[in-house]
Amino acid sequence: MSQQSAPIDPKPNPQRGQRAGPRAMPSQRSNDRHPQATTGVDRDAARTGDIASARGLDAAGALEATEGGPKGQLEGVPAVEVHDLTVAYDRKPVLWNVDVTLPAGRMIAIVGPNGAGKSTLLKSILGLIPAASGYVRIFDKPLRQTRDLVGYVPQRESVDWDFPIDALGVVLMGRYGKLGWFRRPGKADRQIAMRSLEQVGIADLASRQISQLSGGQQQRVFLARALAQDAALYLMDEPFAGVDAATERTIVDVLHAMREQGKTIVAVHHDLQSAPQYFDHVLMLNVRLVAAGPIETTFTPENLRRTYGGRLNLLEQAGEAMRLATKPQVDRAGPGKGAR
Amino acid sequence: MLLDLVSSALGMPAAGASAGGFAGSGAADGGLSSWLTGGWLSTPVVVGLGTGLLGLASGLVSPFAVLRGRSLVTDAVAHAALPGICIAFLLVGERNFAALLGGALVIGLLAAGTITLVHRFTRVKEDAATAMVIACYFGLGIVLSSIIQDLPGNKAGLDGFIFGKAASMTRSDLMLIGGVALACIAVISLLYKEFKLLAFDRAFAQSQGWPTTMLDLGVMALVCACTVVGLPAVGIVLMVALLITPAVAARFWSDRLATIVLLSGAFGAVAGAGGTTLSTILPAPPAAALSRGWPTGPMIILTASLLMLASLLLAPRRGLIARALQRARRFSDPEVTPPAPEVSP
Repeated sequence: MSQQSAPIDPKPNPQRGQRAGPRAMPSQRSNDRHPQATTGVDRDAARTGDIASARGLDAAGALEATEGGPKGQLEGVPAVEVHDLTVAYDRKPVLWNVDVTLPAGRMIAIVGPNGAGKSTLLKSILGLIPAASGYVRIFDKPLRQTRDLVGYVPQRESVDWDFPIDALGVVLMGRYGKLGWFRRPGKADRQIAMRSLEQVGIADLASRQISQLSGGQQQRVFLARALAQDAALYLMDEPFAGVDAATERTIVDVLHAMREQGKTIVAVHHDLQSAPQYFDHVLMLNVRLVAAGPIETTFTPENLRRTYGGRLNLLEQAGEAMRLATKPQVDRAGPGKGAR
Repeated sequence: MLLDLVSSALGMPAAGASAGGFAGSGAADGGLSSWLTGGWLSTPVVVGLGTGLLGLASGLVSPFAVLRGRSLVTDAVAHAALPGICIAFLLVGERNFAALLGGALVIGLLAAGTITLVHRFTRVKEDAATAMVIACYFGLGIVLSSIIQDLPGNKAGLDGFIFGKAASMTRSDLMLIGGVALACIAVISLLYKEFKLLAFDRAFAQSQGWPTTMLDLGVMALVCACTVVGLPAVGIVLMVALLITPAVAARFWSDRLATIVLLSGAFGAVAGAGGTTLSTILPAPPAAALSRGWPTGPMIILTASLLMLASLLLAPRRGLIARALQRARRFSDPEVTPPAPEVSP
């Protein structure tokens, strides 16, 4: 785990990271932090400027944590590479030429105004939406080969919560991908599902009909389902939307515990105030990629202004966020009046 | 030859003409008990079994269409099966089950595709698009079936397609319905987990790599199979009800999908067999208009609707009466305290 472990670093990535920045520059008003953003430096490495060593650490962390996982695959490889991705609905571009690399083992926030393409980016990474151009690689492989390593937490409103199923039943669905065709979840799957419910603190609600759960409990059920997937990369669409302060706290704790295990978490996040406290990387999006990188260096007033444009109330919030970001000691983690 | 086939395709007991059923069994006279197919399997029994099995098959498929939020699309697919069957019949020239099913499936999916296209590329809302597509394909179906009807010599009824003639069901029809019911049972027990996931959270299913479009197609194929075999018995309009009502009724009684699927199948079977029995044993009304007895197809749907009404009123917890009682208790009982304010918005 020493800084010397760095050279293990695999084939194309260091080059890729450096290549991506300059190449992306002409097409987007990308900032000079872009190269940094794409390399997956962590805080310490950012200070020392030793990019490769940060990668080595990432790899080690991922290795230790993913017991039983496909260790070789994850070694030092970025979690997600998005290459020149453009997505359009009805010929109206929702994402324009987004080119970014997300490091493994980090908690990464996707922020941006409404209609910036945040959910679309998540869904494109998951292959749920066809890209007009560009492609995505997960752990340096096409999605087809890495599906089992990817967990997904959709927006809570995306399903019918009056569906006839209990909480445990929903969590068990996280196991379906590994079960494959025709096989039903067995005892082992049930145990994993129960453990996931315990982790999010609602094991007592396992047999509760999902329509009888509060919004926060429903969000926890979705998180537990993702935990049951036992993935290495988790894509979450607004995991904090409409939950109370206690649930938000629990979810953050669970996500941080997951990161400690080397999991990568990419979440669409709306509350600019809490972003610097919860996440260590940020991807700022407004149809184009505005900036991406470690949150201390990327989540700046200038980038926020460029992301949110001239929207007044949002700018005010951004101002608030800046103050907080510069004074991270001040605990204001409450359920912020998000930017929604 | 053609008109014989047409009359049997329309499910009509064509007077005097010997009609080839799906497997070519003979039918002579339209009377319910006038022809026995041997042994205990008299016509009323065949019809009762057939409609019961048809109800079972539709009832089993029903929850996966309804809970997926696709009742209207199912409606459209079933309606579009009519022109599909007509086209297949005109092309093949005989009442071949596989061809009719194929035609129903292709045109049914075309209808579903039309809805998606209209919805996506215009500002028309999805429900309006669905209603238009249903009317459009159904109109096409009626035009085509009147072409078939007007083929030389054949005056057999259009109403066979629209309201069905259960009494004309033959043993081979029964075998076919039985086959479809078995296929529904087999497919649903094999793909229960997959259909459940698809119905609850399609995007999540897709993120796990399940071929959601193919699974959707699978459900629609089952819908089409039920429609094709059910058409001669209950007709297109009532077939739609048989594909939707059982699941809606069953939902009132349980919060477990597996229970709902079984219950829905049972409701369908009871509606089918019960409706047929009712139409047979009820004393014929004096009016001349109903001298042929009570119509079987509509009786089946009325039975299904009665089950639905009973569920709506009587079901524990979800039923209207139970909920009214709960509310009354909550207001009258001073012991009952409001739930803890732990619940978030």
